[in-house]
Amino acid sequence: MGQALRILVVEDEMMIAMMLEDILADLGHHVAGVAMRLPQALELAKGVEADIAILDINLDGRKSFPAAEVLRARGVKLIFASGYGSPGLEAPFLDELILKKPFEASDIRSALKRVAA
Amino acid sequence: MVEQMDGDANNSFPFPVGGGECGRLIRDFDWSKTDLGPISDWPQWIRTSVDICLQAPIPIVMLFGPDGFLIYNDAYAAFAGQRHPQLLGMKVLEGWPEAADLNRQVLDTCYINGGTLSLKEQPLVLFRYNNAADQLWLDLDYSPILNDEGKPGGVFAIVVETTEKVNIQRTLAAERIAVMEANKRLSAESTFLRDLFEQAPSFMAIMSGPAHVFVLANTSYQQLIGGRNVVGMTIRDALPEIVDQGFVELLDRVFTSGQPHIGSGSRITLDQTVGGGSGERYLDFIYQPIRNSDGKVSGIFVEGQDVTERMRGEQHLRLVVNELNHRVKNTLAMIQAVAAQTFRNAGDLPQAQAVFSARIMALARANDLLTGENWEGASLSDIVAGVSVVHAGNQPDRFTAKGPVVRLSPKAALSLSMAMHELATNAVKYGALSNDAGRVDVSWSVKDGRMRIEWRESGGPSVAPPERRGFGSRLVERGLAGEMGGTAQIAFEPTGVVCVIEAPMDIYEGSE
Repeated sequence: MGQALRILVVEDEMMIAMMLEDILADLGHHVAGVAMRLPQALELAKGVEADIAILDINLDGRKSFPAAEVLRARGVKLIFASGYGSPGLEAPFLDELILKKPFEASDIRSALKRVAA
Repeated sequence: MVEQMDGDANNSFPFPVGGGECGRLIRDFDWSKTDLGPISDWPQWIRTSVDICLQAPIPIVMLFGPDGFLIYNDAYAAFAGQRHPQLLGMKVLEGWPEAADLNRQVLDTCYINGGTLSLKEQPLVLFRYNNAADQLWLDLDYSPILNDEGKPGGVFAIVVETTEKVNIQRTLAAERIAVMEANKRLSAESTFLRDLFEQAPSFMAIMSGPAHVFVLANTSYQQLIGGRNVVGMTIRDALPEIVDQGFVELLDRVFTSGQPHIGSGSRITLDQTVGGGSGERYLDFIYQPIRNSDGKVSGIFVEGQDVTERMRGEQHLRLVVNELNHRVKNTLAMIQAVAAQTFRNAGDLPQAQAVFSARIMALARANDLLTGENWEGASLSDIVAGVSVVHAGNQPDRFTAKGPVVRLSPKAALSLSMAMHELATNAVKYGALSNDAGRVDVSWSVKDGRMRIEWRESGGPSVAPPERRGFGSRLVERGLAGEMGGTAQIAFEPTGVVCVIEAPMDIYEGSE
């Protein structure tokens, strides 16, 4: 299973955020925080102790990139998540990993493995 | 036709002298059976008349006596056709029974009354050849022949057939009428075609020459270009804004190649267009070369339809389909999440299936509610009413809702519906709705830009906090709080469960 990681979840869909929490707990990781809207995500990004952040690109109509910038500047590694028809990645995040929704536990596990490596 | 004098005079001076065939026939005829008596007894006035008649080159016939015994010359004989030679020496009414009425009038006017009669282009039907009716027109001039006593003894008639002239005149007149009618028809046809062109629902224009000068533009075309008058102008002068949009090059190509061009859903931006202002239109159109009689391209016929509304409809439909796909995927992701939560650590599978089914139904109801509102949001009272109907349907007085009108965003409405479903499920199973006496009162208020929703159960079995927080608690306290950007607390008070949700008001009016 590897080493336990501290993970920030940024996801605007309540049920999916909870499922992500469960998946991460099942994989033996620690959820460092959950944000469902951009202001909360920005707030958390500044101070959270996290190794990796999983960010939904679209947060109730606003893009999560400002929070991603803060996180990247603080050395937090990024995994983006995107639903069908949602906006894709933009500069300067074009090379970041992106997860297509809906996803499964195995998708999360391999994404974390790649990013943490 | 014109018979010259024979000039075969002999020594005995026979009468009449010469006169061609008719002269000979008169000489040989037995006139004793007629009113004129034997030819040798004829008085001088008859002889003179006969001589004048026989020497004349025009058709002349004479009627002698009250019965009008006929004597005529060769020119008249030619006119009489096969009625000659029997006609000679006959009574006029018997000789020409088909013209009896006319000849009765002649005898009356000239013979009896000594007058003259002049008829121009007199129509007559005679049976001159093979006993067949023959329509002819005649100029007839009748005058009396005076006898030795100065009284009318006969009638002198000059007969000129004008049938050919009349026929030509008639033909000309008929042709003139036909031409006039043809002109009228052509004029009506051209008016019809022009009206058709003008009123056609599709836009049409005709351009002439390599510079594409507008010759015609119909009403639809003028509407398309915002009522501009373009006839007589080149395309570049008439519609300068389209020069850089490729349409002039297309026209040039059609003109030089002679091949038509068909455009489908082509975008065009016009400085002035339908309604007057500038704008973008989409057109289906054809540029059809027009060839002159040499086969050379002389112009271009432009015809087409403005399909802007259809294109916008299609674009809108694409948007709607994309949005629908998005929602379907979103919903599937939600269902996946609900399934994951429900079956996680589920000890009793049939029970978990029932719970799952109820949660999916709650999700479906929230979807219905939002669809009814065109996914623009939902009112809080509608959300609470939906929960009440499902969980306290046959006892509505055990579930009350009270509060001002508050509209929630679609996401907030969906989350609150799911949270209230969990609270109501718990109430039915363990709380105030699990016995016959308990009740649930939901109330909400807005103050200083914050709203407060309270779910209060009472009258149920006494409540103790659960050993382990379940999915419902987690959904409300963590999920709903996060979704609303506020707080949500569940208290297991002895009198019943109390849940208080507080959140800033602007969250509820948030955009999707």
